[in-house]
Amino acid sequence: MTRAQGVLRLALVLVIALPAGARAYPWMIRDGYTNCSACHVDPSGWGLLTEYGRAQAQIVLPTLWGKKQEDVEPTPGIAYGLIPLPSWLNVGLSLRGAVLSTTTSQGTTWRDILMIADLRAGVTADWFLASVSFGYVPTGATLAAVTNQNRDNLVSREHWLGVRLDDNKLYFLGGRLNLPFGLRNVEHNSFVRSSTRTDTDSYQQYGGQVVWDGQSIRAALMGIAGNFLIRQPEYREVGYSGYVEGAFSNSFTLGFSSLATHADLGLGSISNPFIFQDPFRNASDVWRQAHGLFSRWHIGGPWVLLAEADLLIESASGVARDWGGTGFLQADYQILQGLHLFFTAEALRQYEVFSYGGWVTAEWFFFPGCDVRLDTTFIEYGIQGGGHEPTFSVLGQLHFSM
Amino acid sequence: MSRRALALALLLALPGSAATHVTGEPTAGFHGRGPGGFSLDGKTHQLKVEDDGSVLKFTVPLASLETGIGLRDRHMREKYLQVDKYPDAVLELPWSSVKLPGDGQTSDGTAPGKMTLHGKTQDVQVKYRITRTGNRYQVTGNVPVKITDYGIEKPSYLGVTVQPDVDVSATFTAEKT
Repeated sequence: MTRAQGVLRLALVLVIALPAGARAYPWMIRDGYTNCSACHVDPSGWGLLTEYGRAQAQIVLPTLWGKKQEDVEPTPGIAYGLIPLPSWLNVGLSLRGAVLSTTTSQGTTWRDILMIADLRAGVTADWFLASVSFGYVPTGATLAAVTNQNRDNLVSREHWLGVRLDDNKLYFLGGRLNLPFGLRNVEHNSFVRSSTRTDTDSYQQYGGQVVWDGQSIRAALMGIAGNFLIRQPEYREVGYSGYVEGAFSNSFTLGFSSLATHADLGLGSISNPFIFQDPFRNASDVWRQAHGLFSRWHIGGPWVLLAEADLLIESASGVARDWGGTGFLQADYQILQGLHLFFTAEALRQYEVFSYGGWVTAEWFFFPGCDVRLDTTFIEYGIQGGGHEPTFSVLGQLHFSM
Repeated sequence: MSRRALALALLLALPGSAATHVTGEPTAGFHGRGPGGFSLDGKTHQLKVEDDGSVLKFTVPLASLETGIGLRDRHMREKYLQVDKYPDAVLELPWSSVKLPGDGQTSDGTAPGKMTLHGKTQDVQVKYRITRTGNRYQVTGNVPVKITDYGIEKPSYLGVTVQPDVDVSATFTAEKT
């Protein structure tokens, strides 16, 4: 590896190591929540909270400092009750800053990063739904950028309209939407999210989505029309993405996801920064598929297990079909309400290269709307032609939301 | 009283000579539904079974029900169930409506009973399954209940309203001697 390549790879490691700055906590199954629509405007979860969700964020999420849950009186509106809101209007702000240290064979770097500064607004008025986010990022999230700069972009990760019918069980949504696939969590740098390109950081797509949110089955199917924030239309992917998830009890779910897209030209993967020659980058007639299983399981007491495994298939004109796979396993141990330890392991095989690693995380929701998170991550990235590049990173974050 | 009537009375009274007591940890609870896929489950391990020989009486102290979220429990107890005024849910089931299985067998059935909740008593249909091993009976029962029939307001909190139709259930093991 040349020094220039090394610097480039290190920069990419830094970019993909940034966690998403949004809320999506599938470990809420601990509190018996197998579905997401009561708390989130998006019925498949993530991001903007409903009035009920804002209350739960004050009752079940943070450390209560000696109070009991039954003694909590959630403040209405936002900003700790300073700004009242009508029940149909939902507004949220998310600010996340971080310090990241990354060590590779090229050396160690330190960065302080503003990862997210998003304002979100949404409507949940009887049958009508709408949601929009607008924010600023100094780097990254270019696939969600509405401006066209190398850095300092304005982003809109989602903007969509929808209707809900049949006592909020059936939804029709249209616009720029999160892709319904796998675990919807904040770990956007995990292999399962980056290799399937289904993270909530910037991989939203334009299209239409049908969602079924039933008692024991929830499902979503999205027709993908493309990411129109990509200026060059030949790189836009068209296809479908969906999942169906069964809740076998209020503590265990198992789901199946499937995705297939086509693009005239391949964007290339960013899952492994040490892939020197991505065979699908700029290849023509690129087909991408991902199919897999995911599960959420409240084992009991403080333990929740999240798991996902996906088959990855990619083909293009003149390029040998690539069969790969990725897996993710995360155990969440809640020491006391609001204070979590996460133990995560993951693996990826893509382009005949195998990478694996894991991270240990401590996250503390120390006050409603505020959390600190510390990650120590070790990843052995596979290198084409053989060998591995070990990377070690330490990431500290402070997140404020309302 | 004729001999035949006396024999019949003795036969009917047989269960009365028996005692039923719960062994192990019983579970009683409910399952409610809200909009979309929202659901909530309440659970308690406090279940008292009394047997006077002709009627089985199940009593659940409602203050012990927990749904996993403290504030929701408080609202449930204070605003909806009003446990200070109506502390117990009581189900009465006549022995005559229950079919006990033979040793090593399982019986399923539906039995009419009376449910008292929130100060009101209503007729209910109890679905049950009983598995017998010797004098031990493993019992599961379900009762569909419409809480508004008992004068309980439909629970609603910040846009999430629970449907009035709730499944009440109990699981326990009893010994009959």
